[in-house]
Amino acid sequence: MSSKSRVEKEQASLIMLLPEDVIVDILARVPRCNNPTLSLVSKHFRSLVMSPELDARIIDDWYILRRKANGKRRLVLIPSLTDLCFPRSFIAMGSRIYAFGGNNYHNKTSRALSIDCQSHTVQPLPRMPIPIIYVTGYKGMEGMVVFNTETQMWEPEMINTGNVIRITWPGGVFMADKLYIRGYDRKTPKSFVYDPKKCKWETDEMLDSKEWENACVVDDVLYYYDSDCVESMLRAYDPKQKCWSVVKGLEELLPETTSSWWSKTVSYGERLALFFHKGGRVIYEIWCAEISLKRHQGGEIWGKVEWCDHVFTGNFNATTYLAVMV
Amino acid sequence: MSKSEKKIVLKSLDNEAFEVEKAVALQSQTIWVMCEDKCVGNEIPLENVTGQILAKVIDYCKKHAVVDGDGDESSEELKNWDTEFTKNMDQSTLFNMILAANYLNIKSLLNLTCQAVADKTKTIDEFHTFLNIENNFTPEEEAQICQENLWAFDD
Repeated sequence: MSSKSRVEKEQASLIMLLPEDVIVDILARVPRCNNPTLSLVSKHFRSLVMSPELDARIIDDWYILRRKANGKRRLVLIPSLTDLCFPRSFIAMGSRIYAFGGNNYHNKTSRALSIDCQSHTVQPLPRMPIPIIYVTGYKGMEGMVVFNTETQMWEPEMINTGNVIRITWPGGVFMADKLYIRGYDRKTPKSFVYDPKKCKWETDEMLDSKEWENACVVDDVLYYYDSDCVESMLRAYDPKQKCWSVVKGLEELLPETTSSWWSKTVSYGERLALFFHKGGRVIYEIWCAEISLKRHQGGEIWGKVEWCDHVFTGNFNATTYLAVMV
Repeated sequence: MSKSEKKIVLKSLDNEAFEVEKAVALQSQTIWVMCEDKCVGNEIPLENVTGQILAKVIDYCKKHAVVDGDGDESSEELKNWDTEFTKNMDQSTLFNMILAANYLNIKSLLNLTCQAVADKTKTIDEFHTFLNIENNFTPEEEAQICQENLWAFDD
């Protein structure tokens, strides 16, 4: 008997005494972004994570950031949008959110829909010609498809990715008329830049010198919150100058964010919203700071915190933030 | 209704008896059905729950029987009470509470305890230690799953 199976036998694990139904219930409550983690726990867990049953129970809620009569801002639940249950990729355009995809761990869906943020209603869109739109590579990328928001149809032609791009992080950005997506490779992070006018893929070495993620774009400059260094900072990348800089003037705000185990930036007109959390891991506070940005002579970018509010207290993970015009 | 009819006795696996208000006990669908069926008298044997766990379940039901249906303030207070209730429970108590909530069919308690387990387990290590689960993947299998998972990451 191998030592591993001996250990397994000796340590009866309590969770396995629970009915399978209850185990699935527990797993469905683990924030969905942790599913990749869950599937690494054990073989049994992996089979549960991949089961359709788990997906059927995962609950998505949508919240809107509202300013209350007392001037404080709060995240307020939108009841009509509760439990859309599947989409994985979201893009905000005008007053609409387009939801595509995606993956529910056991199969890929080609469903697409749009959410009208004025009436909070959902309309189905034509199905995607291929199941994956934004994530480019699972076992090699098939190509990229384009949804035309004017005609509300999928463009018949697929963008060739030439087998260059295999696996990417989600959350590409569109900046200075080009699409930026970050390839996933732990050793050599690499971004791919698509120029739709030239129908050409490019790379950007300077951009790759930082491991950008959860980025947003304001005025054709990419911003992301970098918590990997000793002091967290908001970094900016200007694709025209091909240079990275650190946004100045946030010395008071940034120490507030250091306990946060996730932070996301969202562009919001000419401004940027930084979401971060405070407090424990079970019940915690979501905070939001609105930052206006100004470029000084010599190229330095200065941020000014317009307001910073505690917008929510909860025990769930926020996965996607979107800014819409209403 | 006389005083005795309002009360009910719950008897645990280890023969501990708890006298509780009917309104408290009937939050359990299982007890509800038993009472409806009139197949039991005023004493209900609960063969799957120990006295130690039953005491905690009754604490929960008492709290919820009193405050349910009140205004906003108290539902907030109840939420805080729930958080405190599960906060310092050790792993074994928590799992036994889940088993009890499942057996007694108390939906809100099952929700609360399942959520508590989910909240206490965020990283792979926490799953292995808190849930006492052995990682039975080989390093090669692990690497393979990491690769497959990449496309699932969302922002």
